[in-house]
Amino acid sequence: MAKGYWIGRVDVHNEDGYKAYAAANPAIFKKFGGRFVVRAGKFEAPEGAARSRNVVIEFPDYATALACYRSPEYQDNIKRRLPHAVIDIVIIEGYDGPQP
Amino acid sequence: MPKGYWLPQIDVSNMEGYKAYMAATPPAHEKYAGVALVRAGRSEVVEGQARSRCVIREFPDYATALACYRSDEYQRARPLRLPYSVCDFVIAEGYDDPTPSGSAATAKKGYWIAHIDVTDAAGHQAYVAALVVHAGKFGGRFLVRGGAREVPEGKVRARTGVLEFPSYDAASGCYHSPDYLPVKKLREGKAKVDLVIVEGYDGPKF
Repeated sequence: MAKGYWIGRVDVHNEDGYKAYAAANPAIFKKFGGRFVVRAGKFEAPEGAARSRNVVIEFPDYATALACYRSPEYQDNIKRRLPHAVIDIVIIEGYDGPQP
Repeated sequence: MPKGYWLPQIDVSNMEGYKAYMAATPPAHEKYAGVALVRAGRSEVVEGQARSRCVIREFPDYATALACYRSDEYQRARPLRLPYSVCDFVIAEGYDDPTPSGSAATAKKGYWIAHIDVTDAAGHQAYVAALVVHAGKFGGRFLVRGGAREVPEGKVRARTGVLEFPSYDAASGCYHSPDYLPVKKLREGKAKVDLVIVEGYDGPKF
């Protein structure tokens, strides 16, 4: 079955404030079988718009990726982030077809 | 993931003739992100036998090292050296040091993350078909390629794709390769793209 992903791009305005949100995330992601694929590693943005922090989290499937976002735990954690960051999040089904 | 290596040893009988071969290899090496670590620097054979010219060329991984050798680009260059040299050619997989101080940095994968607004679907399909071939040469594979999605926060373009590469250097090299230019040209005027190339995460698991 195809995996599910969160793909986020984030501009953090207050690093100290953001830390409480980031620290609470792993316990939530773990509950839904998530793992970090990308976690604010070095990057280049050769085309178009970008934000300064890129994150990709992989879940066992699309339904679980959505369920994690909608969970009371994460919805509660969002409140910790909102004052400190601007974010674009896509939750998307992975690709399961033939590879190059 | 361990790197891949070319380990040729060469006796050159006619250096003037051999130069045409050396001049013909960069397209293959660039395409597959092969980097010379050793290229006929001074050497001593301290035990046993070896040929006089020793080269070590590093690739993102073993599969890429093999693919480069088998590529049309390299197979065009190879006949240029045959009349002027004798070669023992080994292609080998690198060693992934399991200690934390070892290859932790090099084990990180690399990713293309693209958010796309397609303005000409047929034209964009031709681009994707060419991208699949090009990215494959750098060890790229799709994690996400279209697919059902939601955007619960913020704003991104209508379609999302993620390509995974064996390393950040392979991901970046794939984009900056001269061979990507004609591929990229296929999507000009067919789509608007936000593209980031980013290093993967290799830290502690939850």
